[in-house]
Amino acid sequence: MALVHLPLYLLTFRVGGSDCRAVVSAVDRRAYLLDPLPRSAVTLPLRHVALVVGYSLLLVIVGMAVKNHLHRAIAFAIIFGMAYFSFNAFLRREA
Amino acid sequence: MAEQQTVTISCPQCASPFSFREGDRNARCPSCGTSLAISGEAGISRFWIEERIDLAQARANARRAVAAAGGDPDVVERLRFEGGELCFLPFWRLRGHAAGWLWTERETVTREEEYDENGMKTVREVRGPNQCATESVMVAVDYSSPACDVSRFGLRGIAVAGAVLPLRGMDFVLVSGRGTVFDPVKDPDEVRREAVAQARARGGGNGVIRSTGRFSLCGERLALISYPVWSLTFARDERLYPVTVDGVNGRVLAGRLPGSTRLTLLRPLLTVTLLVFAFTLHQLLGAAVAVGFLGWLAANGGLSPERLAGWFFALVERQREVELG
Repeated sequence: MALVHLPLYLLTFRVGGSDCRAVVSAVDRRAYLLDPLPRSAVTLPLRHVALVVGYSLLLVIVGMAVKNHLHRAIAFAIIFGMAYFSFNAFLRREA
Repeated sequence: MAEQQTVTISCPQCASPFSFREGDRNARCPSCGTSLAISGEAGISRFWIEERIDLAQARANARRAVAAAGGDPDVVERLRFEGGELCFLPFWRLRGHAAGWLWTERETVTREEEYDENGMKTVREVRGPNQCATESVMVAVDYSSPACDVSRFGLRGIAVAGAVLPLRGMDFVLVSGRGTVFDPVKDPDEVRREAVAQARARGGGNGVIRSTGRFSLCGERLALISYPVWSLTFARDERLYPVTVDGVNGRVLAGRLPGSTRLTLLRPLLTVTLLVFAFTLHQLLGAAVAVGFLGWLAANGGLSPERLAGWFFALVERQREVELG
């Protein structure tokens, strides 16, 4: 009779906002999931959320400040165009 | 990683004790000078194959493989190299002959040719009675099988490499200094059973309906060969992408790398602009546009918090990852 100690790594990580655990054998590198992975998940970078929220706030402020419908539409179109090209450049550099 | 051990035995010629390192294939008795061939526990020789490409070449090959597999060149260029490790994977190699008897029952088919009054030839295949036969069989065996779980490396066998490439006697100090040496997990008896099963499956030929037989290995030469494989890791954002490259010929064996990305800016910006503009025109109009948008979303793919968040905030869409190997 023998008592055998097996080297195992217990890993904790996050997938799509859910905590998951896995055991990895330090002998043959096999991995065993202890918690099931979420079936579907959306990971949203905070930077992207901040971009869209900032854009929305700018529109709300401009919308409240400009009373004339035509002028507001022109202002929105200009902001939209500028935001589109600047966000595009920023995200392309980031991606 | 295997640890080197010193083993002490008695010389079979002069009976004086002498020591040798684990993994040595040859030793000379210090007392009588007799040269001795040493094999492992079960008479198994251990060899290793030297790597022929270095880390830089492996990295370059991995990047080239992504481009060849249709990956986005910009993405490949921006991949961050995290590290690389040379792994020596153990493979059993069994050579010899499988001899035994084989009983087979096979179907017989005869072709009958007929000519009609216009001279047109018609060929019919007629099944005859099944034929049973017992034969002695001797099949050459050259079988290679991984000695541990190497599925993530994408390498299945090294029969050809083991036959062509020069094999070096295993030196644990030297090899473990170059990379990580994986220890075998699979039992030699299991390898023998697999080799016999493969030899038996090859026997018989065409048209065999049933077969049974008994095979034994004879003249077997079993060896454990450590094969070099580069295990590379690339990173992009928070994701890691493993790639394994053959350490001898530089072929990419397995791995995955990120696919191209697509910006989806127009969708969220246009939606936000229209919604805010509608609210600034009239609150009721804004509410109606918002309800209409949510209804359209529910009708096209369903409405859920994840879908809504993805619609507005998922500005970068990643395409499917490129699978290699």
